[in-house]
Amino acid sequence: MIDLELASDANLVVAVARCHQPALAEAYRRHGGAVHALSRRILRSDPPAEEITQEVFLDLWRSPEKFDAQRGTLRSFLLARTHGKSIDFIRSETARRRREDRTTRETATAGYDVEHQVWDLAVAEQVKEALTALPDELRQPILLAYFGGHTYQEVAKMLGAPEGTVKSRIRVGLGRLRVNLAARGVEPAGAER
Amino acid sequence: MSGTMPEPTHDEIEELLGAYALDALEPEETAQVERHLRECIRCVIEVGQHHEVTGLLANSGGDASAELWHKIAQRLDAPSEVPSWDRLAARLDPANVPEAVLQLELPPAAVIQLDQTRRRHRWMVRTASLVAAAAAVLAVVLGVQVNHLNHQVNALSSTRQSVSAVAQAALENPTTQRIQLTPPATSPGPKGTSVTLVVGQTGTGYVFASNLAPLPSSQTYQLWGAINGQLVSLGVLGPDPGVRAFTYDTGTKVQAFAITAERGGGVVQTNHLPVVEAAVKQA
Repeated sequence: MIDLELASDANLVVAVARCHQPALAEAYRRHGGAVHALSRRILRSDPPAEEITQEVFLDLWRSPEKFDAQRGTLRSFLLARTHGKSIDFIRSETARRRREDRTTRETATAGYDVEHQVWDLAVAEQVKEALTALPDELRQPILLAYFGGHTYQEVAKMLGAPEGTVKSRIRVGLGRLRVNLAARGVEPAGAER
Repeated sequence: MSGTMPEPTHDEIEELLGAYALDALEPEETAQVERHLRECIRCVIEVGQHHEVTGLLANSGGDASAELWHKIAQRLDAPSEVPSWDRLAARLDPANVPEAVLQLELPPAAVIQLDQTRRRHRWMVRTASLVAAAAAVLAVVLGVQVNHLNHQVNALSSTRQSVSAVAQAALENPTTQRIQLTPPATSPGPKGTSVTLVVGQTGTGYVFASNLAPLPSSQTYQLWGAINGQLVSLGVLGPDPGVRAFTYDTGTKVQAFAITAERGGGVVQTNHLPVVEAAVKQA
């Protein structure tokens, strides 16, 4: 018999696929806080963040086969889904006006604000250090896109840089961040693959 | 961009992967990348790596809200279409799935709730949802399908006199129906295990369970039927069942049969996944 609290994430998902509700509860216990926090941070409003958190776990319940343990951890899978849903929400028609207002504000503060946000979110000291070690021109586009919910084209306008440059810097920055994390002993799952 | 434009090259798509992982592309670009990802494993891996990095950025480490879980639990439904297990199993190597996962031991109680006042991060399971989930498992299992089975099952009544001989006669009777219970399709357990149920119109059924591996004496096999979305115990079979009889009412549809391994004496409601199972196709 298995203790759910000791089961691997991959095995939890197998159990979820067997309609095993306590396994979903355990997955929520492990990752629900991070999912909710990420959505709330992006949306800056709790009611839609709660709704998205519910959707993320209901999706896992209904379509657990979308998680592929060969491609990464359950946490990164759930957070990527959370991020995508949150971004869809803020890009929706109903939220457009609020987003435009926010874009104006963020343009004025150019990245300072979002860096503060990520300090709140990134609990691991190593993650903070790895981010700090990135040059500004690589760090800012990542934070503005990820936590600000902006497209790279929008980020390019905000930073006054060419779109192609920003696009490239995001990719290079993520790769560099991964290396920085590994150098600090934080080995993202799937890094060896 | 229009649909008539040529697809971007691999190198062009690669340049978009970082922004794609951050959901920072316009919809048209997102669609292009996703078309490419269907064919390019290298790019799939890179996106996975970016997601791992962003997942670390987003790691708040905060506790999950019990209240929010309650809302989720209220919305859980039983999958009604293709069994998700089978879709998942298509990608899994069964040898890597511990048998323990398929025989999960659950707390015996009620919607699953986070009980933060008594023990942090412990969950309580509400019987109703558990039964529904277990019934859902049975409703989607693979197995030999039998038509026109209309029996209401009451309780076990083991006929002690020459069960084997009577059961053998029932097995050979052309008017009875045979249901083959088999392990879940991707169970890591013994593949050859199978149990035959024989049911007829008399109200007595027989279980041919000689193939089941003997359990320790502190445990027992137990037969279940899924009836109207509820699991009903059809009988405690013992740790080494052989051939056993059970009785039932004729009139209510049984959607599925299953045998679980339980603690000695059996249980009122099971928290275990089936050792063998068979769905019953309704007429």
